Amino acid sequence: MAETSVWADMGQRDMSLLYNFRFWSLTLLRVFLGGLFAYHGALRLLVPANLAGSISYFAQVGIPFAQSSAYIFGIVEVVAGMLLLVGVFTRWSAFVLMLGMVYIFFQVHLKNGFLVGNNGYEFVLLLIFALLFVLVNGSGHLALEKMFKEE
Amino acid sequence: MANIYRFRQWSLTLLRITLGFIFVYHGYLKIFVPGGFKGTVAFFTAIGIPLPLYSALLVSVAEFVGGIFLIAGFLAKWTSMVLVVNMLVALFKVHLKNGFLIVNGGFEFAAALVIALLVVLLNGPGSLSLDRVVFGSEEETEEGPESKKRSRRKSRKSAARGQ
Repeated sequence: MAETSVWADMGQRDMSLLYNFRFWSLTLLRVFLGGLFAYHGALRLLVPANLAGSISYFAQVGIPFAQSSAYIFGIVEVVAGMLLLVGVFTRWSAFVLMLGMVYIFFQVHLKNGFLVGNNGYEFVLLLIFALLFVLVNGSGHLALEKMFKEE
Repeated sequence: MANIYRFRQWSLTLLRITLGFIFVYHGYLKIFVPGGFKGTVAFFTAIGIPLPLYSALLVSVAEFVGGIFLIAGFLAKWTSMVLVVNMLVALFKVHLKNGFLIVNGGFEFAAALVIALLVVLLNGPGSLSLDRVVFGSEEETEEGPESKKRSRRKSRKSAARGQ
Protein backbone atom coordinates (compact mmCIF):
# COMPACT_ATOMS: atom_id res chain seq x y z
CA MET A 1 0.00 0.00 0.00
CA ALA A 2 1.72 3.15 -1.21
CA GLU A 3 1.52 6.08 1.17
CA THR A 4 1.06 9.38 -0.57
CA SER A 5 1.95 11.62 2.35
CA VAL A 6 5.43 12.00 3.80
CA TRP A 7 3.83 12.41 7.21
CA ALA A 8 2.15 9.04 7.07
CA ASP A 9 5.42 7.19 6.60
CA MET A 10 7.07 8.21 9.80
CA GLY A 11 6.46 5.01 11.68
CA GLN A 12 7.81 2.57 9.18
CA ARG A 13 11.16 0.90 9.14
CA ASP A 14 11.40 0.94 5.36
CA MET A 15 11.65 4.73 5.48
CA SER A 16 14.75 4.40 7.59
CA LEU A 17 15.61 8.08 7.83
CA LEU A 18 12.14 9.12 8.92
CA TYR A 19 11.86 6.15 11.24
CA ASN A 20 15.11 7.29 12.80
CA PHE A 21 13.62 10.71 13.47
CA ARG A 22 11.18 9.09 15.87
CA PHE A 23 14.02 7.56 17.79
CA TRP A 24 15.96 10.80 17.78
CA SER A 25 12.95 12.59 19.26
CA LEU A 26 12.98 10.01 22.04
CA THR A 27 16.69 10.58 22.58
CA LEU A 28 16.16 14.33 22.70
CA LEU A 29 13.39 13.93 25.28
CA ARG A 30 15.46 11.54 27.41
CA VAL A 31 18.58 13.71 27.36
CA PHE A 32 16.58 16.84 28.13
CA LEU A 33 14.75 15.22 31.06
CA GLY A 34 18.00 13.74 32.36
CA GLY A 35 19.78 17.07 32.18
CA LEU A 36 16.84 18.82 33.82
CA PHE A 37 16.67 16.47 36.80
CA ALA A 38 20.45 16.24 37.22
CA TYR A 39 20.64 20.04 37.19
CA HIS A 40 17.86 20.44 39.73
CA GLY A 41 19.37 17.76 41.95
CA ALA A 42 22.84 19.25 41.70
CA LEU A 43 21.51 22.70 42.58
CA ARG A 44 19.69 21.21 45.56
CA LEU A 45 22.68 19.27 46.86
CA LEU A 46 25.79 21.23 45.95
CA VAL A 47 24.81 24.82 46.67
CA PRO A 48 24.67 25.13 50.49
CA ALA A 49 22.10 27.95 50.45
CA ASN A 50 19.85 25.90 48.19
CA LEU A 51 20.19 22.84 50.40
CA ALA A 52 19.08 24.80 53.46
CA GLY A 53 16.39 26.44 51.35
CA SER A 54 14.99 23.18 50.10
CA ILE A 55 15.00 21.63 53.57
CA SER A 56 12.95 24.53 54.93
CA TYR A 57 10.75 24.47 51.82
CA PHE A 58 10.13 20.73 52.21
CA ALA A 59 9.16 21.32 55.84
CA GLN A 60 6.91 24.18 54.81
CA VAL A 61 4.95 22.16 52.24
CA GLY A 62 4.56 19.29 54.69
CA ILE A 63 6.89 16.65 53.30
CA PRO A 64 7.75 14.32 56.21
CA PHE A 65 11.38 14.10 57.43
CA ALA A 66 12.22 17.31 55.55
CA GLN A 67 15.97 17.07 56.01
CA SER A 68 16.41 13.45 54.93
CA SER A 69 13.79 13.90 52.21
CA ALA A 70 15.69 16.85 50.74
CA TYR A 71 18.88 14.79 50.62
CA ILE A 72 17.08 11.76 49.17
CA PHE A 73 15.33 13.85 46.55
CA GLY A 74 18.59 15.54 45.59
CA ILE A 75 20.47 12.26 45.31
CA VAL A 76 17.68 10.54 43.37
CA GLU A 77 17.42 13.51 41.01
CA VAL A 78 21.17 13.58 40.37
CA VAL A 79 21.62 9.81 40.00
CA ALA A 80 18.48 9.07 38.00
CA GLY A 81 18.99 12.23 35.97
CA MET A 82 22.55 11.24 35.03
CA LEU A 83 21.40 7.70 34.21
CA LEU A 84 18.69 9.10 31.93
CA LEU A 85 21.20 11.47 30.36
CA VAL A 86 23.59 8.70 29.37
CA GLY A 87 20.88 6.12 28.81
CA VAL A 88 21.65 3.46 31.42
CA PHE A 89 18.73 1.81 33.27
CA THR A 90 16.62 4.29 31.34
CA ARG A 91 13.24 2.81 32.14
CA TRP A 92 13.99 2.33 35.84
CA SER A 93 15.27 5.89 36.19
CA ALA A 94 12.25 7.25 34.39
CA PHE A 95 9.98 5.18 36.64
CA VAL A 96 11.62 6.37 39.86
CA LEU A 97 11.58 10.01 38.77
CA MET A 98 7.98 9.64 37.67
CA LEU A 99 6.96 8.34 41.10
CA GLY A 100 8.77 11.28 42.69
CA MET A 101 7.00 13.73 40.41
CA VAL A 102 3.60 12.16 41.09
CA TYR A 103 4.23 12.59 44.81
CA ILE A 104 5.35 16.21 44.32
CA PHE A 105 2.31 16.81 42.12
CA PHE A 106 -0.11 15.87 44.89
CA GLN A 107 1.91 17.14 47.84
CA VAL A 108 3.04 20.51 46.54
CA HIS A 109 1.55 21.74 43.29
CA LEU A 110 -2.03 20.51 43.08
CA LYS A 111 -3.46 23.08 45.50
CA ASN A 112 -1.79 25.99 43.65
CA GLY A 113 -3.87 25.62 40.52
CA PHE A 114 -2.68 25.08 36.98
CA LEU A 115 -0.27 27.88 36.14
CA VAL A 116 3.40 27.38 36.73
CA GLY A 117 3.69 31.10 37.48
CA ASN A 118 1.73 30.47 40.72
CA ASN A 119 3.71 27.30 41.45
CA GLY A 120 0.90 25.29 39.87
CA TYR A 121 0.99 21.81 38.42
CA GLU A 122 1.27 22.22 34.64
CA PHE A 123 5.04 21.71 34.46
CA VAL A 124 5.02 18.73 36.83
CA LEU A 125 2.15 17.20 34.86
CA LEU A 126 4.12 17.56 31.63
CA LEU A 127 7.18 16.02 33.29
CA ILE A 128 5.13 13.06 34.54
CA PHE A 129 3.80 12.24 31.10
CA ALA A 130 7.13 12.89 29.38
CA LEU A 131 8.77 10.46 31.84
CA LEU A 132 5.96 7.99 31.21
CA PHE A 133 6.68 8.28 27.51
CA VAL A 134 10.35 7.48 28.10
CA LEU A 135 9.36 4.66 30.48
CA VAL A 136 7.18 3.03 27.85
CA ASN A 137 9.30 3.72 24.77
CA GLY A 138 12.81 3.18 26.10
CA SER A 139 15.99 5.08 25.47
CA GLY A 140 16.13 5.75 21.70
CA HIS A 141 19.48 6.39 20.07
CA LEU A 142 22.79 7.19 21.76
CA ALA A 143 22.10 5.14 24.87
CA LEU A 144 25.02 3.52 26.71
CA GLU A 145 22.91 0.50 27.69
CA LYS A 146 22.48 -0.38 24.00
CA MET A 147 26.23 -0.23 23.44
CA PHE A 148 26.71 -2.74 26.29
CA LYS A 149 24.10 -5.02 24.82
CA GLU A 150 25.80 -5.17 21.44
CA GLU A 151 29.08 -6.39 22.91
CA MET B 1 4.66 -7.38 21.25
CA ALA B 2 1.27 -6.19 20.37
CA ASN B 3 0.58 -5.10 23.91
CA ILE B 4 3.84 -3.21 24.21
CA TYR B 5 3.04 -1.49 20.96
CA ARG B 6 -0.36 -0.47 22.24
CA PHE B 7 1.21 0.98 25.40
CA ARG B 8 3.50 3.07 23.21
CA GLN B 9 0.55 4.52 21.36
CA TRP B 10 -1.24 5.29 24.62
CA SER B 11 1.79 6.99 26.16
CA LEU B 12 1.82 9.22 23.11
CA THR B 13 -1.89 9.92 23.60
CA LEU B 14 -1.36 10.94 27.22
CA LEU B 15 1.50 13.26 26.29
CA ARG B 16 -0.56 14.83 23.52
CA ILE B 17 -3.58 15.42 25.74
CA THR B 18 -1.43 16.95 28.49
CA LEU B 19 0.12 19.32 25.97
CA GLY B 20 -3.35 20.10 24.67
CA PHE B 21 -4.62 21.07 28.12
CA ILE B 22 -1.61 23.28 28.77
CA PHE B 23 -2.10 25.19 25.51
CA VAL B 24 -5.90 25.43 25.81
CA TYR B 25 -5.53 26.86 29.29
CA HIS B 26 -3.00 29.46 28.22
CA GLY B 27 -5.00 30.34 25.11
CA TYR B 28 -8.16 30.62 27.24
CA LEU B 29 -6.39 32.99 29.63
CA LYS B 30 -5.25 35.13 26.73
CA ILE B 31 -8.65 35.32 25.00
CA PHE B 32 -11.48 34.97 27.48
CA VAL B 33 -10.23 36.25 30.82
CA PRO B 34 -10.92 40.00 31.09
CA GLY B 35 -7.71 41.95 30.53
CA GLY B 36 -5.93 38.85 29.32
CA PHE B 37 -5.77 39.90 25.71
CA LYS B 38 -4.89 43.50 26.51
CA GLY B 39 -2.15 42.29 28.80
CA THR B 40 -0.78 40.02 26.09
CA VAL B 41 -0.71 42.88 23.57
CA ALA B 42 1.03 45.13 26.11
CA PHE B 43 3.53 42.39 26.90
CA PHE B 44 4.25 41.74 23.22
CA THR B 45 4.77 45.48 22.68
CA ALA B 46 7.12 45.63 25.67
CA ILE B 47 9.34 42.79 24.47
CA GLY B 48 9.41 44.13 20.92
CA ILE B 49 7.40 41.61 18.94
CA PRO B 50 6.45 43.13 15.57
CA LEU B 51 2.76 43.96 14.99
CA PRO B 52 1.86 43.24 18.64
CA LEU B 53 -1.92 43.36 18.14
CA TYR B 54 -1.97 40.85 15.31
CA SER B 55 0.73 38.64 16.80
CA ALA B 56 -1.17 38.50 20.08
CA LEU B 57 -4.35 37.57 18.23
CA LEU B 58 -2.50 34.92 16.24
CA VAL B 59 -0.78 33.44 19.30
CA SER B 60 -3.95 33.40 21.42
CA VAL B 61 -6.00 31.70 18.73
CA ALA B 62 -3.17 29.29 17.86
CA GLU B 63 -2.79 28.25 21.49
CA PHE B 64 -6.52 27.89 22.17
CA VAL B 65 -7.51 26.17 18.93
CA GLY B 66 -4.22 24.25 18.71
CA GLY B 67 -4.74 22.98 22.24
CA ILE B 68 -8.24 21.77 21.39
CA PHE B 69 -6.87 20.10 18.25
CA LEU B 70 -4.17 18.36 20.28
CA ILE B 71 -6.68 17.08 22.85
CA ALA B 72 -8.92 15.80 20.05
CA GLY B 73 -5.93 14.54 18.08
CA PHE B 74 -7.03 16.44 15.01
CA LEU B 75 -4.24 17.39 12.56
CA ALA B 76 -1.90 16.61 15.44
CA LYS B 77 1.34 16.81 13.48
CA TRP B 78 0.51 20.12 11.82
CA THR B 79 -0.79 21.59 15.08
CA SER B 80 2.30 20.60 16.99
CA MET B 81 4.47 22.10 14.27
CA VAL B 82 2.68 25.45 14.63
CA LEU B 83 2.95 25.31 18.41
CA VAL B 84 6.66 24.39 18.24
CA VAL B 85 7.26 27.62 16.34
CA ASN B 86 5.13 29.50 18.88
CA MET B 87 7.10 28.05 21.81
CA LEU B 88 10.47 28.61 20.14
CA VAL B 89 9.67 32.31 19.80
CA ALA B 90 8.59 32.39 23.45
CA LEU B 91 11.74 30.53 24.45
CA PHE B 92 14.16 32.83 22.66
CA LYS B 93 12.29 36.12 23.03
CA VAL B 94 11.11 35.79 26.62
CA HIS B 95 12.65 33.02 28.67
CA LEU B 96 16.21 32.52 27.45
CA LYS B 97 17.67 35.55 29.21
CA ASN B 98 16.23 34.42 32.57
CA GLY B 99 18.37 31.29 32.77
CA PHE B 100 17.18 27.72 33.12
CA LEU B 101 15.01 27.58 36.23
CA ILE B 102 11.29 28.20 35.88
CA VAL B 103 11.08 29.94 39.27
CA ASN B 104 13.07 32.81 37.72
CA GLY B 105 11.01 32.70 34.52
CA GLY B 106 13.68 30.58 32.84
CA PHE B 107 13.38 28.42 29.77
CA GLU B 108 13.07 24.89 31.17
CA PHE B 109 9.29 24.72 30.81
CA ALA B 110 9.31 26.24 27.32
CA ALA B 111 12.07 23.84 26.28
CA ALA B 112 10.14 20.88 27.74
CA LEU B 113 7.08 21.96 25.74
CA VAL B 114 9.13 22.31 22.55
CA ILE B 115 10.63 18.85 22.93
CA ALA B 116 7.34 17.20 23.90
CA LEU B 117 5.72 18.82 20.86
CA LEU B 118 8.57 17.55 18.69
CA VAL B 119 7.84 14.06 19.99
CA VAL B 120 4.19 14.42 18.94
CA LEU B 121 5.25 15.98 15.63
CA LEU B 122 7.49 13.03 14.79
CA ASN B 123 5.46 10.19 16.30
CA GLY B 124 1.92 11.22 15.43
CA PRO B 125 -1.18 11.48 17.57
CA GLY B 126 -1.24 7.97 19.06
CA SER B 127 -4.46 6.23 20.06
CA LEU B 128 -7.85 7.91 20.49
CA SER B 129 -7.33 10.57 17.86
CA LEU B 130 -9.69 12.22 15.41
CA ASP B 131 -6.93 11.91 12.79
CA ARG B 132 -7.55 8.17 12.68
CA VAL B 133 -11.29 8.66 12.38
CA VAL B 134 -11.23 11.47 9.84
CA PHE B 135 -8.26 10.56 7.68
CA GLY B 136 -8.30 6.86 8.46
CA SER B 137 -4.56 6.92 8.99
CA GLU B 138 -3.08 3.46 9.30
CA GLU B 139 -2.05 2.17 12.65
CA GLU B 140 1.72 2.35 12.42
CA THR B 141 3.36 -0.91 13.29
CA GLU B 142 6.80 -1.82 14.49
CA GLU B 143 7.42 -4.36 11.78
CA GLY B 144 6.31 -2.27 8.83
CA PRO B 145 3.72 -2.77 6.13
CA GLU B 146 3.89 -6.59 5.98
CA SER B 147 2.78 -7.18 9.54
CA LYS B 148 0.26 -4.42 9.12
CA LYS B 149 -1.53 -6.49 6.51
CA ARG B 150 -1.32 -9.52 8.70
CA SER B 151 -2.75 -7.76 11.74
CA ARG B 152 -5.51 -6.24 9.67
CA ARG B 153 -6.47 -9.65 8.37
CA LYS B 154 -6.39 -10.98 11.88
CA SER B 155 -8.65 -8.22 13.16
CA ARG B 156 -11.05 -8.82 10.32
CA LYS B 157 -11.16 -12.50 11.20
CA SER B 158 -11.86 -11.78 14.82
CA ALA B 159 -14.53 -9.28 13.78
CA ALA B 160 -16.16 -11.96 11.66
CA ARG B 161 -16.08 -14.29 14.63
CA GLY B 162 -17.87 -11.59 16.56
CA GLN B 163 -15.12 -10.93 19.09
